[in-house]
Amino acid sequence: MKERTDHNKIRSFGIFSTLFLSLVGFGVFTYTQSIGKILGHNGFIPTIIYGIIYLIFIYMIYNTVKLNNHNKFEVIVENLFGVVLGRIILFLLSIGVVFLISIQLRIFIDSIKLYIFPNINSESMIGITLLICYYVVRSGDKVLAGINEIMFVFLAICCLIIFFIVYKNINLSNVLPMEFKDGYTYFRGFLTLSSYFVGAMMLYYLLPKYKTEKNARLNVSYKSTIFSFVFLSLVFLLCVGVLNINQTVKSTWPIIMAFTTIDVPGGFIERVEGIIITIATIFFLVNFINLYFYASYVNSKSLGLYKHKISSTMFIPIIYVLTLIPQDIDDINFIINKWAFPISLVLVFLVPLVLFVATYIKNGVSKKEVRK
Amino acid sequence: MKKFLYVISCFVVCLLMKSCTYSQSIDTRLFVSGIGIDINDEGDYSVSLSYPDISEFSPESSKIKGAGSISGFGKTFYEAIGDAISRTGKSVDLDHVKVIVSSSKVVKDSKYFSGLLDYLSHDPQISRRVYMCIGDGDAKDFIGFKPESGEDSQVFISELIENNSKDNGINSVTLNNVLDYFSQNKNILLPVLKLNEDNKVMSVKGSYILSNYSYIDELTLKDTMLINFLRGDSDRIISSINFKNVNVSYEAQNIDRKIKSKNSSNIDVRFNLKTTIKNCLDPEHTKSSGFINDITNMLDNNINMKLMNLLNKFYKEGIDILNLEEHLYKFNTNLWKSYIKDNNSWVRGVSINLQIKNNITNIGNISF
Repeated sequence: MKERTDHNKIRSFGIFSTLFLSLVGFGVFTYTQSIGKILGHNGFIPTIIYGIIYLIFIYMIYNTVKLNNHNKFEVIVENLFGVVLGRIILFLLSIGVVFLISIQLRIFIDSIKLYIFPNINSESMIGITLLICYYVVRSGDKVLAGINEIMFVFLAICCLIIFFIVYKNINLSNVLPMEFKDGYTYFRGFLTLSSYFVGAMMLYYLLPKYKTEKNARLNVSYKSTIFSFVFLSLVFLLCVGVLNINQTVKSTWPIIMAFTTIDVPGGFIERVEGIIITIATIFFLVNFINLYFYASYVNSKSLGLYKHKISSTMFIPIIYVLTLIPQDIDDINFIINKWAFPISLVLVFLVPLVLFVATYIKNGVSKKEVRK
Repeated sequence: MKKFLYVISCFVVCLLMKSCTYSQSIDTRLFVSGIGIDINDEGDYSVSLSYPDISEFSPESSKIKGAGSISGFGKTFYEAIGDAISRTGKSVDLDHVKVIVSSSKVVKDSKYFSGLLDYLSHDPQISRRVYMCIGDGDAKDFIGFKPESGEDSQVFISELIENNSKDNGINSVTLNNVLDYFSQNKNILLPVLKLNEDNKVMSVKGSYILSNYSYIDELTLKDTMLINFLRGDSDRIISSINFKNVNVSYEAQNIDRKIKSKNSSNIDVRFNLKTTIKNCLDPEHTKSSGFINDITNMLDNNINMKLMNLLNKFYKEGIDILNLEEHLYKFNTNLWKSYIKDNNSWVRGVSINLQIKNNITNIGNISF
């Protein structure tokens, strides 16, 4: 008889693919436009540099988990801040993530509505997307890493084929000339790029489950992060190369518009943008499932529940309502700029920083106590 | 039981989706294949849509009963499409548009042309791969044109443009090209089609130069080939020279095009050509030893003179036909910043130094 696989263990490829798909997901749709507005036509090199700077935060997350003896996230937070405050923090975290993913879901549904299903109303599409994701998230602690592994391989093959289709149409002279901007602009660009990296929090869930010695944990999370921002910068290069920067900034979903311009010789694929929408949909759905699962996991721990299933059920109406709150584009822009952006910055920067500093201080205190 | 309930609920959800309950069969749709845009006497858009008639189309006999066309009028492009829809009992589908023919009236009025492009770039249904061309006359005649070979008009027009872009050096322009060039402040050559008097023969007339949504000038078919060659959009010139009383045809293919600039007013454009001699009937030529050398020099001078005449004409009028400003902006940014950025009369003052080098590599079956 075969031994049943241990669901509490994740192999390194699982971490790699899960982290990658948590970092890059929603960004595929809007990253190019938002970074192009700030940095102009040569935003791809800054993207890579930003990513390298961002590795500091991955290092912090890794060290936080390591210094706390690879405990689970809820145990770490409760040890650091006490049970009451810790559970309040966990609850707020989960609500923040849910808020972000519901705004992302709204934008995703709007784009799908424009390009694929113009006649179906948004409510039923949101309902069906939520049902599909809920079904996966319910058994998330068993299947999450597996799903990510499969989807990563699938998406990698698709993206490679797409790249071979598109590479002739990329006009690299659109990236020229190289220009330097002032420091404040680059700083804003860094904040914008980082706001897409909320998924880095998945490491708090993943790392304790990955049982190896040495630095393998750190290496695999570094690799995955590097891979994701190289991927994002390639997406940027593709959009600017095909469309040029003026059109990229104007368009609502640049990556889809870039592919509406591409003519496949031989005509074996008539509409390439259909494939792109499918790939982007899978990117979004897997990203959504990851963050949804993470939110419900953290939430269940904050409420003291044994399983995350109750939390994920509880989130369905919350996400549904949050998704439908913005009435028009103006509301969506307002929510993104005034709410979603600061919240994602808090989740991306403040949370790892606070946990890391708190761990260091606590370690120092306990060492002193031992000496006494 | 739990699984069964789940399957049932999925099934119900699928049935409740609109695509199942409000489906449209294929013969109730109007698949538009070509759009013709014109302005009528009242200053409204007049849009004509051509479509293949698939009313007799069925799995048993895949027969397309010719083509039809409808037209509509309106203050905006969208209104005109709506007006056209009101004249048909079917739902209009713009997914399969291949060709957009705008009449020269539309193109020459920048207000109408920019409005048209604005609509076309907004609509997610219209693909950006559609061919754009200009009809010299009523756009409706071009869209409703019936070629003798019995093809659809849009198939004929797109093949006309594609083949002429290979052999006659016109530029096959898609909607994306137009938007791309205009968004970078570059000028573009749009192919112009014409019909003869009894609307039976369609041919390529030449092209219009457009910049920033407005009409600048017109080019003949020959000049279009030369200008596209200079711009690097097409890679060959096919022409002839008179060499010792014999008309020698040649085909010069561009293998290397370089633009160099030392200062803002002197720009070198260098071409390295691979030339094929197509005919040389005079037996006297074979006896002279320096024949290849002679003809090469003559070709160099001839092509140079032809191209310089065209270029001087445009640059004296202040039209940057080669998009040199954009080239300098990308590859020589310091020069662009210091001299050209704020200097509006730069184009008139620029002198282009054209250097052409022919290498005769192919002389066909007969050796000299």
